Amino acid sequence: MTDRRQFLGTLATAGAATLVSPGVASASPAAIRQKKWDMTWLAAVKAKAHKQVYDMGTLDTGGVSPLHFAHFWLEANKEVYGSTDAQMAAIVGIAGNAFPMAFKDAMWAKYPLGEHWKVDDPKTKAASKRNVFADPNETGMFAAFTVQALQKRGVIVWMCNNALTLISGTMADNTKQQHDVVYNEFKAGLLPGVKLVVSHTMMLTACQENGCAYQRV
Amino acid sequence: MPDRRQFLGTLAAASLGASVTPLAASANEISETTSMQQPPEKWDLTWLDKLNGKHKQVFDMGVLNGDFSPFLPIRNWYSAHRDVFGMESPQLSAIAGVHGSSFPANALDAMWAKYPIGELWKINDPKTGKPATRNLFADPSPTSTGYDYSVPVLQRRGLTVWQCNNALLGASARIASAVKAQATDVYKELRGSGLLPGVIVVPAHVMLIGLAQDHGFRYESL
Repeated sequence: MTDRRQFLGTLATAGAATLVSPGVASASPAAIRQKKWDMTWLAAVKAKAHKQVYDMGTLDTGGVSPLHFAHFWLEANKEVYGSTDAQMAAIVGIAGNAFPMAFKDAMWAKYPLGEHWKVDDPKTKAASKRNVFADPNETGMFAAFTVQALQKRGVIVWMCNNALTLISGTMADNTKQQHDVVYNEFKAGLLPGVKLVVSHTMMLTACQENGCAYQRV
Repeated sequence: MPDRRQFLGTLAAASLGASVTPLAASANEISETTSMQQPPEKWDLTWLDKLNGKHKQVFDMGVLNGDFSPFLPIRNWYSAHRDVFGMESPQLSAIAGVHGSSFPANALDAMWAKYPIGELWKINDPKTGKPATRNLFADPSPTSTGYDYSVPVLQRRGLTVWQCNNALLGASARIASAVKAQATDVYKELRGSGLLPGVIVVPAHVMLIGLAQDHGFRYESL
């Protein structure tokens, strides 16, 4: 097991597979540890007729965004039960494996997210410098799979704070910056509406306790 | 992302692969199990009735590697519940379900030293850069990286760890084949004295994953 300083080096050689784990909370500076966490939003989830939490374990599902699962889940419930978006709760839980998906283009341009997570831009065929999972110019069927398209339908997208802490710490080490500076930069770099949660793994439990079915993507 | 023109073909292949892989793994285990012809045995599953935490989670343990232990999220699970709700065991009940790909985490150092577990499961020791000959997931040194999410430390925090017997039979056959020993002998050694203290051998991982959820446990694949 590597220490945090070796982490990006490990990423470079082993790829995103090493980001399976959602972070080392105990390694985070106290200054960036949040004391209070709002869990009340789960009550609204519980009240929905159909509820599903997606544990995002990958960014590669055969050439199409892994967010297509959430889209088709909404569509199938609509088709079979006549459910409206307001009657359904779909949650996309993001930690280490799918980390870059939650960030603005500026973060992709500044940090080597595409390179480390092996996400190529279909336009350039090179490591992406923009968030291809939130492309505002996406067209056709694929436009429905973007983060913002799903959010407009009520899909909740979260980022694990442990993953944010660990990965920002590693990025800080690699770029010789202060951890809290980079952590706050990444926190501000989250796409609008992305919810920061205390712990991905804990929230997967909490969602299921509130009636969500679980799917690993 | 790969070219979208490959999407349907890739998706078909990926879907097929996704369904075939677990079946293939099971088939291997069944084949190895059957060849060893273990007699039916009585299984005590009453321990599951005693796990009555307010929050209950079963972790389906995935592949091990030397970079990040899949036990780390379990540490985070305990810590987050402590930080948010002020809870520890017995208010929290967590299970790590170990089967074939994560079997080495349950083996004592002596088994890692005696058998080529590190080599077979492709787990390198970061200290030597070579296949591990000790259990990296149960390092007893408090100064080691990952000590607070090592199996014994998590067990002390309340974690229940099981080992799938089908996978144990499969692992025994795999090891026996590598060292040219009898699979039944390796199995008896691993089952009898080769596992970490407190590890519960269960008849089938897949059965217990369902049973744990029947008992109110939530599920996470790691």
